[in-house]
Amino acid sequence: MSQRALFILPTRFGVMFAVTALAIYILGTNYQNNLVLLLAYGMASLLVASMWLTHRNLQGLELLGGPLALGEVGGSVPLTITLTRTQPCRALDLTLSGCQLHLPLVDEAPQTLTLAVNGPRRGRLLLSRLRVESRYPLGLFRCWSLVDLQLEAWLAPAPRHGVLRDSSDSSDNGQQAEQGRGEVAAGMGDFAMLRPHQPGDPLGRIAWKQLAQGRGMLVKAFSEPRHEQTRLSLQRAVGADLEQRLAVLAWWSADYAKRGVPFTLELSGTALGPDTGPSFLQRCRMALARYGAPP
Amino acid sequence: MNLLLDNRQLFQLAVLLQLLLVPALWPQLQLWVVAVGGLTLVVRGLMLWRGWRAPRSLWLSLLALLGACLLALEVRAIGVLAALINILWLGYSLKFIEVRRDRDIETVLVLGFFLIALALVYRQSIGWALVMAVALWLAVTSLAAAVQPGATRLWRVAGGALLVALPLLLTLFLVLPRLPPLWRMPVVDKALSGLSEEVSPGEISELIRSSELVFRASFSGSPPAYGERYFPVMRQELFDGRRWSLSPAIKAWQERQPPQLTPPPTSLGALEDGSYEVIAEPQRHRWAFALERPEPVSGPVLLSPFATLYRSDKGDQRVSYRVASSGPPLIADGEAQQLNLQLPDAGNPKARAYGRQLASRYPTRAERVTAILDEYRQQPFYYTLQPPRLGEDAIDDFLFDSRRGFCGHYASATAMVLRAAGVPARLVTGYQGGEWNPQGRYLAVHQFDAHAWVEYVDEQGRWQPVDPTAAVSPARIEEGVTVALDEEFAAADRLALSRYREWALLNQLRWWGTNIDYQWTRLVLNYDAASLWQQVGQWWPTLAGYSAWLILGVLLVVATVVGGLLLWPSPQPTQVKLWRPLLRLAKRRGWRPREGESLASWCERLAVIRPQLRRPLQRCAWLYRRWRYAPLSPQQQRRVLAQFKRRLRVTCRRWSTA
Repeated sequence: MSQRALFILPTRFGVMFAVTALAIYILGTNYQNNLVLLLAYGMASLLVASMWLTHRNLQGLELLGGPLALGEVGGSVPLTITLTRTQPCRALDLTLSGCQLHLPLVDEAPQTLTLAVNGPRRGRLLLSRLRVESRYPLGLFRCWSLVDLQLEAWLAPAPRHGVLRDSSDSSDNGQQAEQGRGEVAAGMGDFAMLRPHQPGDPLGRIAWKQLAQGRGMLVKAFSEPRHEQTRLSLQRAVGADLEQRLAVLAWWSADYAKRGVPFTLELSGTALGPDTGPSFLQRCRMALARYGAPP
Repeated sequence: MNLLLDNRQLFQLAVLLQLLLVPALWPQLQLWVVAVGGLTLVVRGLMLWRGWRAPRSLWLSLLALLGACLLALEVRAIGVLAALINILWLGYSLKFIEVRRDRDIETVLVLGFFLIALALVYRQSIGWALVMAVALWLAVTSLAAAVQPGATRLWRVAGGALLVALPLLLTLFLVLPRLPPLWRMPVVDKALSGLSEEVSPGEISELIRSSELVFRASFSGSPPAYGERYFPVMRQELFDGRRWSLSPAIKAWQERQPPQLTPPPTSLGALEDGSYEVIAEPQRHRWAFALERPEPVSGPVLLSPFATLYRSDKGDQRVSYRVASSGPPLIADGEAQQLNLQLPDAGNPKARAYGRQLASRYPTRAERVTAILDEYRQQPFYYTLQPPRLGEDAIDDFLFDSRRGFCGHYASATAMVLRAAGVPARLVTGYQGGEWNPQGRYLAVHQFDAHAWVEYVDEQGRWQPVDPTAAVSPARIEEGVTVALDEEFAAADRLALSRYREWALLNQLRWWGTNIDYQWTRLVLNYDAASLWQQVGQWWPTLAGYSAWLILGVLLVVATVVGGLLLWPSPQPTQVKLWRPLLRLAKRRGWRPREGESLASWCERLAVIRPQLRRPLQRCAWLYRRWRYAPLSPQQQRRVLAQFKRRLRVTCRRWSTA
């Protein structure tokens, strides 16, 4: 943090302290008492020294914004920030869009912290600048800086269970037929067979019992009669408005991902997948969060 | 961001601070106020440790109101300033229980500073100043504790802040002149002692029982011999048969001298030849102290019409001034001679008869004086602090009956007899003697050195001093009252140390202690930057009018230097700074660290280049890595760092000698 980005002003307590120093100075003057004057001078010098020390405490602090963060509507977005400073820096207060964090010490070892910012609406979260403030050492001055760390946070819709319409009217059945391995199916489908394990199969579908019996790594496969069911799109979601329908899509994506069912998410003309697993779910949630936002 | 209200550290610091402040403010603090303070501390402690609930604020308000009323009743008895201290203490204690918001804590913290200031109004000795410095440190530590709740070693943080503040503090003290008092403050009700303007024979003996310091003087050359250390303060010319008092002319003159708010400062630097500097303690009058025939050089003193010094300020503070003994001899004009022959119409018939008898027997005035002194020497007169009570005709009783008394009796009787013998005479009161401190090279005069003697006018119209006490008890004049009245004095004196004056070692210690106190008074308590600027103006007359700018300039320079040192971004990180001595040596040979090479591996490379230093260099690299990267406790880390620094120093020394 460079010198120019730092602001410094006395706190209310600092002003009170200065007024007391003045009162003591008057007391010393009226009694012509050098020791009382010395105390008043000491308090005045302490005020100046405290200004320097407070400023110095923040000087040279390095802040690094973390990667793009994704959260859910109504929940909080975990934003990561990394702080370092060659000399120890004490008693920091970080504020970002209503979220506060007190940090007793920052030193040479980079310290990564997570600020959880709440967001009410889907889409990009509007973040204020990060305010880094410290009143160390004596609380007489407050030194702060407003840092723009180029933090980016998106809010995905909060998953909400809802009904999906049949996708009978979908025209691309042929494309559907080509997709992936035939046997993959929704967890709710009927158990079809055990097949040998292939790398990449979700852990939840490993036949543990058979493994224990020493029959090798087998994977349970389910038959899914209606493949088009795993193709999620806005048209299929039922809901009063766009947000609700996106929430339904979020629920189904999370559900499929949890069960390890490959699925496709189609939004505004682009299709994601078919794929499954946590990282794909993250991509889908991001896409849901970004839906409707200017690119 | 908020101060932690439930802060135990703050509580502990406040307890320590109160422990220091209570004795410092003791005589002013009322016992019940201290008791309330202790009680609030206990309650607060129980709240913090035992989870007690805070008492209802209604109760606290009632208690505060009750306390204020009680103090209001006592204001008359204890004085305004003491009442103020008590009310602050009460507020400080009660606020301590009722900490609900940040502001409450802030009030408590700030009040601590103010109470320290009030304690300093009363206590100015070097010992108390040190105690109050510790109290200041505690108060600053509690500020730090409020910012960093739960942190350890806060006293170091506070000490660091105070250390940073120190250069500016000293500069402020050295360059800022004291302003004159802005308004009258309630008087620090100290019972001041000192000579009184009216003398009846009993009064000086009360002073003699006091070992309070009156003034200290340091001389440009050697001090006057013991027998010449007469410091006249007042000259009483009116006699009513029992009491001697100041003449109306002097009283009128005194009334024409209102206290100046800005008395002239005392000059700094070495004393001019033949002059001396006096540091006078406040007395109950404004008369000041000097040897015979004073001539004020600098400082807040005036020359009075009867050639003694009078303070031009209010007189309630300790002051210093410089005097030369170069005044004109005292001449009595006809009017003064007439005044000093005045006697009451009646009373003391025997003394009058004795005076008339002297006048008829001896033609010259000097002979009459010698005759009286011979009388004292030949008749059984005694010098004692416990004279019998005297009757209506006090001087007759003393001269012809009891014949026991001290300086006041002898001087009073002598002056009266001289007047009866037709010699104009008056009483002089002041101090005689004093103790020379060989370590500090100053003369300390105490109340027990108070003395009275006589002046008469000779045929040439000059005032001549006569000390009748010298005739009765030469030891009083040559060695001081403590020797002259050894046993009586020791019994009366409460200052234990001075009873053991004959013990050499103790004497050394006592001188050493009083010398520290003297220097503290001279250099710190009585310092005024105004005299510094006066001196600057004398040395460089061109600068004389610009002292305000000079003050500002000096302050700015100091602030820039300290602030710059603190805030200038250091070009190298600390780790690199550690290596600086070795880097400097190696750079001379051109062995700089390569791009991207860590300092430790650079050091190992050096070990290869300089095989004779291989082991120490490798050891340095190892220690450095251990300090930076090994998982050590803070203590271990400090130890490793110290080892590394030492090793590097030794290596560098061997490098340069090799």
